Amino acid sequence: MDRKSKKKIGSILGIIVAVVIGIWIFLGGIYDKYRIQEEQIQELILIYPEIENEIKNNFLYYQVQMVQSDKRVVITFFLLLLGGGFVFIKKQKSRNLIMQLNQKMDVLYEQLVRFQKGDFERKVSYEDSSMEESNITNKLNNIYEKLCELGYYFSDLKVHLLEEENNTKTLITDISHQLKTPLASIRMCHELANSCELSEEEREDFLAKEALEIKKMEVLLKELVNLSYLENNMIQIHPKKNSLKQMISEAVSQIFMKAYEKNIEIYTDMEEDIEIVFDRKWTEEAFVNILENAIKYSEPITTIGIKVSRLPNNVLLEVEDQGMGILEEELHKIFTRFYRGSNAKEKEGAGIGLYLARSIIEQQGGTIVAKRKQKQGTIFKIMLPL
Amino acid sequence: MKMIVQIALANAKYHKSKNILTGVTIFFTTLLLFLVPTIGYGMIECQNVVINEKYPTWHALYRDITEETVTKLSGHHLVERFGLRSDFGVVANIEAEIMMLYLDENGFDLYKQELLEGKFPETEEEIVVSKGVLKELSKTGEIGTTITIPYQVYRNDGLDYIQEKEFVICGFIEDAETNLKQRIYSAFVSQDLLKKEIPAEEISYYFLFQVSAEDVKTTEEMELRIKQLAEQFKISEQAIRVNQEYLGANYVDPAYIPGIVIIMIIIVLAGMITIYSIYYITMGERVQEFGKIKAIGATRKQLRRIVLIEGMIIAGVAIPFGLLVGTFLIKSIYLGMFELYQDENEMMSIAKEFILSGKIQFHQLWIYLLTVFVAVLTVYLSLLRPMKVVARISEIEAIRFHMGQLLKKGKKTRKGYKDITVGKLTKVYLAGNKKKSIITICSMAITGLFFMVVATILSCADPVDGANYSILGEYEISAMIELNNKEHPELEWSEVQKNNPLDEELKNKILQIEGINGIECYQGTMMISDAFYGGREWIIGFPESRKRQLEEGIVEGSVTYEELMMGDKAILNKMMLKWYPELSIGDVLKVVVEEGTGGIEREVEIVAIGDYPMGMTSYSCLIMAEEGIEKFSENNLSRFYHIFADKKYDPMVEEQLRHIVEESGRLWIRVWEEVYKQQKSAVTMTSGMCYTFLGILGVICIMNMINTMIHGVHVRKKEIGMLQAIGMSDAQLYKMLQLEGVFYTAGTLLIAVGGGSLAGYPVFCWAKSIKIFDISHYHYPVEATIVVIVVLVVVQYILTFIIGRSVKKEFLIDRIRFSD
Amino acid sequence: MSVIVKIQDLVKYYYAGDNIVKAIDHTDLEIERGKFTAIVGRSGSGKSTLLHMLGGLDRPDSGKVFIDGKDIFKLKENELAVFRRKKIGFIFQDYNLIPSLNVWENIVLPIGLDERKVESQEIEAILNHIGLDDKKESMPNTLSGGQKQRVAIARALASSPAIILADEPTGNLDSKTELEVINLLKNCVKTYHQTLVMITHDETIAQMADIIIVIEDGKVVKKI
Repeated sequence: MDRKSKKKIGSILGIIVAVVIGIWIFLGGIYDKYRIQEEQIQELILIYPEIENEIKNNFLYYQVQMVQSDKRVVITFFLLLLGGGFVFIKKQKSRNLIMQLNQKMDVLYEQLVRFQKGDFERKVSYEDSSMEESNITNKLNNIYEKLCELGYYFSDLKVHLLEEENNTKTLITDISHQLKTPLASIRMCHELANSCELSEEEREDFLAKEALEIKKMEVLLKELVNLSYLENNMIQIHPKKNSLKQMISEAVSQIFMKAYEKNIEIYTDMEEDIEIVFDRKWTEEAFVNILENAIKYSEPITTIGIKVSRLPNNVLLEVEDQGMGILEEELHKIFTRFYRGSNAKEKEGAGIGLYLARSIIEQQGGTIVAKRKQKQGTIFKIMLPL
Repeated sequence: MKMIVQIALANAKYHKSKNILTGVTIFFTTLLLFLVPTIGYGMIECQNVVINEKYPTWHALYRDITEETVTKLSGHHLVERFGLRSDFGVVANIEAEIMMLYLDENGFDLYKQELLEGKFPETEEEIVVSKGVLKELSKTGEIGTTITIPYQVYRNDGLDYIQEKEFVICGFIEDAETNLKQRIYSAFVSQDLLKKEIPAEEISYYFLFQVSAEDVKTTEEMELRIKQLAEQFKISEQAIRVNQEYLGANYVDPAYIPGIVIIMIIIVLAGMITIYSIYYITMGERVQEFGKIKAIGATRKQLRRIVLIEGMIIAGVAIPFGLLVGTFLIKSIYLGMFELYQDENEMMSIAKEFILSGKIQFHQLWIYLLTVFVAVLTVYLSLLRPMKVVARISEIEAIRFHMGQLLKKGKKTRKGYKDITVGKLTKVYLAGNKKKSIITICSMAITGLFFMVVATILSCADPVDGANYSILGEYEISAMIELNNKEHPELEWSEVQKNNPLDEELKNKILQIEGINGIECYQGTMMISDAFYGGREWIIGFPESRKRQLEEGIVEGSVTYEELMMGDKAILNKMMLKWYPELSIGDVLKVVVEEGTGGIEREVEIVAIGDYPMGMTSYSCLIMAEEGIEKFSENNLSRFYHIFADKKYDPMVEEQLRHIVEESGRLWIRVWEEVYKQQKSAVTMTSGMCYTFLGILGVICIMNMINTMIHGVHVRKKEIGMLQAIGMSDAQLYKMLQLEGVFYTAGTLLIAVGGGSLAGYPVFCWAKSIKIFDISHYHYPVEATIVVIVVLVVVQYILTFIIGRSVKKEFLIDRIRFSD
Repeated sequence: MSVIVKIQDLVKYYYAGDNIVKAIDHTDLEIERGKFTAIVGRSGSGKSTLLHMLGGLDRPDSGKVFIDGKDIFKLKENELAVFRRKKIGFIFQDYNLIPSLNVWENIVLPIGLDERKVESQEIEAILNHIGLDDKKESMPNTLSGGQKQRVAIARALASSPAIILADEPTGNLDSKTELEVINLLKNCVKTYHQTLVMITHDETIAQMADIIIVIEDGKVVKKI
C-alpha cells in the first residue's frame, strides 16, 4: 500500500468518524430534550399530583407536536447529510479525474518529446490504472495508443530504410556472384578459342559455346536489370485501363518461339475481354516470366493452359502446366529471390523471374500463388483487382 | 414407441434449463390447484364440523303447531325424525333468564342436549336443570333434591302471574359457555306439567324434524321440500324456521362450486400461458432438432408424441412434488390462518382444536385425483400448440434453419443507426425478436393486470370505509325492536313507538357524556304493502342536515328534499331493488303504516332511486325527509340516534353509552370500532388469501421472464462470446442484459400497472354496484403497486446478475466455439 | 523489424477423459509488426488454441503472451476486454456476425463498444474497399459467405486495431472466393499498417503471407 492510498483511507476514516460523531451529538441533543421534558413532567406530577392526568395530557399534546417537528428536522438533517456526501463524492471523483488527466497529458507530452529526439521505440511507462474509465480518460488512452503505433510505424520505416540499404549491398554482391560464373566460362571459351593449338573445328565449337554463354548472360543481365529496378524502387507502376486480352496475347507471342521449340502447345480460355486498371508493361513482364517458367520446367509435347475468369472483385488468371511440379515444402519459397527449386538446378536462370512477378502483381494490389496439381504440374493463380 | 420415449427422455435431459423452468411452473400450478380446493373444502369442512358440533340437528321447525297437527305430521313419509318442544314459562324474580321448556326425548337429541346424569322429567314435579341454573337460583342440590322455583307460565296473551312450585331435580345438563356468559339458561319440565298448567287449546308445539333426504342433493331442494310440507298442512311461512347452518353443513351448497371452479380455471390459464410461452420461446431453437428427427423418418404423430412425452415426463416429476409440498403445507396454512383469525371468531378456535386433534381430514383422495387430472390437463393443453408446430416442421426448413436467421426472415435490409451503442444494440435485438418479447410481456402482464385489479378491489375494501359505510357516526343507538315475537310483544314496533326509549331525555343524557359532539336522529316507521309481497318494510327520514347528501345520492329520477317533506313521495333505496326488482319510478305504493293503533292506509309514490350508505338507510326500503315521516304518526318515530364523538373510539365513552343502554334495557347499541374490527378481520383474511394466491400466480408468471431471459442468453451464447471477443466488457454485458430485463420489466409494468390502474376503476365501479365488501370509495392500491414494481425490478435485477455471472463463468472461447 | 507479439514458453493442455491433449506445448514465438504472418498446421495441431491465446480469448496453463510489451494475462478480465477492443480485431471462420444488426451496424459495433464516435467517412472507405458499399443496410442473413466474411473483415478493420487475428477466415468459402478474401485482407492490412496473423491449413493461402509459421503437435516447427 503506497502512501497516497494510506492518506486516502485516513481521510475517509476521518470523515466517517466526524459524521458519526455529528449524528451522535445531534441525536443525543434531541434525546436529551425528551428526557428533560419527561423529568419535568415527573417533577410537576410530584408537585401537583392531583392534576396528573391533565399535565400528562398537556405534555402529550406538545410532545406529539415536537415529535412531528423533530421528525422533520431529522429527515432534513439526513437529507442534507446525504446530499453533502453525494456532492463530496462527486467532487472527489472529479478531482481524481483531473489528476489522472494531468498525469496522462504529461505522458503524452513526454512521448512526443521522445519522438522528436528520434526515439520511436521506447514507451514512456504509462499507468493504465483507472478501472472506471470515464469518457475523457478513455479518449486520452486511445490517443496514447495511436501515438505509440505511430511510433512503431516510424521505427519500422527506419528499419525498412536500413534494410533497403543492406539489400542493395547484398544485391550487388549477389549480382556480381551471379555474373561471375557465366563470365568465367565465357572467358574460358574465349581463351580456348583464341589459343592456336586448336583445330578450326574445335575453335568453331568453342565459339558457339561462347555465343551460348553470352546469350545466357544476356538473359541473366536482363533479369538482373529488372531486379535492380525493382529493388531500387525504379519499377514505376502506372496503372491504366487496359485490355487484359491484349496483354495476354502479347505475352504469349513473346514466349511463343520458346514453346514452339519444345513443341509445347499454349491455349487460352477466356470468354470475354475484360478491361481492368493495371500497368500494362510490367504486368506483361510478370506474366511472361510466369509463362517462361512454365515452359522451362515442362517436358516437350505438353500443353500450357491460360484461363481467365472474372470474380466479383478481381480477375483471376490461371496458368496451368504439366511440368515436373514443385515440392510441397518448396511452394512458399519459389517466390523468394534467387530461389531455385531442388529439381530445377540444371535449368538456366537465376531464380528471379517469379520473385519479380510477385512483386509486380502485389504492387498492384494483386496476389499470386502456386498450387500443386494432383497428378503433375502446377497452377499459378494470379489475381488482379478489378 | 420405446424409441420415442427414449428421445423424449434425452430431450428432457438436454434442455435442462428450460425443463426445470417448466417443471417449476407445473409445480406451482399443481400446488395452487391443490391448495385452492383443499382450502376451500377444508374451510367448509371445518365449518361443518363446528356446526355439527354446536348446532341442533333438526332440519327445520314449525312453530305454533297443535297436538293434532303433530300427530298428522309425525306420520308423514317425508318426516324422518321429529321432536317436540314447547315453551312452558320463565323463572321469575331473577336477573338471569331461565326458560322453562318441555322437550321430548327426540327433542333433546335434536337439540344436542345431553343429560350429564339422571333422567328426563316424567312427572309434574320433575325438572332437569344445570349447575348454572342452580347458581342463578342461589340453590344447591343434586338429583332428588327438592327446590322451590317461582315462575310465570306463557299464556296466549302473555306471561301469567307468578306462581311457586316445588320441583324435584331429576337430571342435570351441562352449561355451555354462552349460557354462563349471557346468563340465559334452560330448564326442562315434563309434558305432564305443561298439560296441567296450560289449557289444551293453548298449548302450541315446536315441531322439530329432519326431513327425508331421499332423492335430494342440495340444500335448496331440501328447503323446498320443507316448505311444501308446510303448505300441505297449512302452516304459514312465518312459522317455518329452517336450520340453514346445519343443512348447509351437511348437504352441498351449490354456491361454493362455481367460485372454486373459476379460481381453478384462472390457475390453469396462468399455468398454460406460462408453459406455452416457455415452449414457444425455445421452439425456434428446437425446430432444427425436430427437423432432423423428421428427416430421418419420424412421422408427424411420432414427433407430436415426443413433445407430449417430454412434457409429461416433466409433469410426472413436478406434479407429485407439488402434491407433496402441498400436503405438507396445508396444515400449517390452516393453523396460520386460524392463528390470525381466532380472536375474532369463536368458530375458528374450535376449528383449530379439531384440526390439531385430527378430527378434520383435509387430505381427500378426490382432491388429489382432481389436482393430478387438472394439472395434467393443463400441461396437455399448453403443449397442444407446440405439438402442432413441431408436427408442421418441414425437413428442409429445419436443416436450413440457422439460429437467429429464422427470426429475421423476410426482412432484407433495415435502416440502421450510424453508430452503435450498447443501448442501441439491445434495442435492435429486442426489435428483432418482437414476437418473443411481446409474448413474454403479455403473459406476464396478464397476471400483473389481474393482480392489480384484485389489489384495487382489496384496497378499496378499506375497513374504515366499510365501517363508515355501514354505520353513521361513531355509535349508533336504536330501540330494540323484535317482530313477531310472541314472547315479547312489547318489542313490536307498534308498541315501541308508543313508548319510544329514544326520547329527549336519552338525547340529553347522551349529550352530557364528555367527548360526544352531537346526535343525529333518524326517524322511520314500518309499512306493509302488497308491493313487499305483504311483508313489512322500513321507511326512513333523513334530517334536514342531510339534505345535500339525500339529493346527491339520487341515481335515477329527481326530487328535492322539500318535495319529500310532504309524506307522499319517497326515494327507493337502490339496494332494495334486489329484493323488489319490479319496483320503479312512478309506482304508487298503497301502504299501511303502523302507527300503533292498527295502521293507517296511505299512498306513497316512488319518485327516484337513490344509493346511500347503509349506515344512513339501515336497510330501509324507502327514504323520505324527516318531516314527511313525522306526518305518519303522532308517536315518537325515532329509529336511530347516530352519535358523533371527538374520537373515533374512546373506551370511556363506549362504557358510558353501554351503561345507558343497559339501564334502559330496551336499547341496542352498535359501535363503529366494533364494526371496523369485524370488517378489518374479514378484509385481512380475504386479502391475505387473495394476495397469497396472487403471489403464487405471480411466481408462475415470473418463470416466464426467467425463461425468456435465460433462453435469450443461452441462444446467444455464441453471439455474446463474439461481442466479448470484439471488445464488450463485463460492464457492458451486464448493461445489455440489464437493459433487456428493464425492457421486459418496463413493458410488463406499463401494461400491468398502467392497464391495471385503468381497469381497476371500472372493476371498482362494478364491485361497488354489487356491494362486494361494502366498497364505497375508490382507493388506488399504492402498496400493491409498489410491491409489484419492487418485486419485478428486484427479480429482474437478480436475474440479470445471475445470468451475467453464469455467462462469465464459462470461458469466452468455449462460448465462441459453442455451436449447438 | 519490431516485435508486436511475443510468446514465452506457452503451455495449454486439454484433458479429454484420460487423454491429455497438448494443444500448446512449451512454445516460444515472435510476430513482427506490420507483417502478414500465417500459422499453418493440420487440424488438431494447436494452431487455433495459439491464436485464441494471442487474442486473450483463452487463458494458458502457463507461459506469457506479450502484446506491445504488455503481459495480457496479467490484466484483469475487464481490462483484458478493453485492451482487446483497442488492440485486436478478430475474424472467425464462421463470420460471427450479429444477426439482428445490419451490415453497417455490425461493422461499427466495436467502435460503439469502445464508446468512440464513428467516423462515417472512414467506414465508408473501408466498405468501398471491400466492395460492400451498396450493402450497408442489408441484414447478414441475406449475404453470401464471401460477403459475410468481408463484413467480418470490415468489422475487424473498423476500429483500426494494431493486430488482426484471423482464424481460418476462408474455411467456409470456395477456393476462388478464398483468394479474393485473403487478398482483400492482405491489402487492407497493408493499407492500414496493421499486423495480420492468420491461421490456415491451406499451403496455397499460406503463400500469400510474409512469414509462415508451421505448427505441429503444439510446437512451432518452422518459421519461414
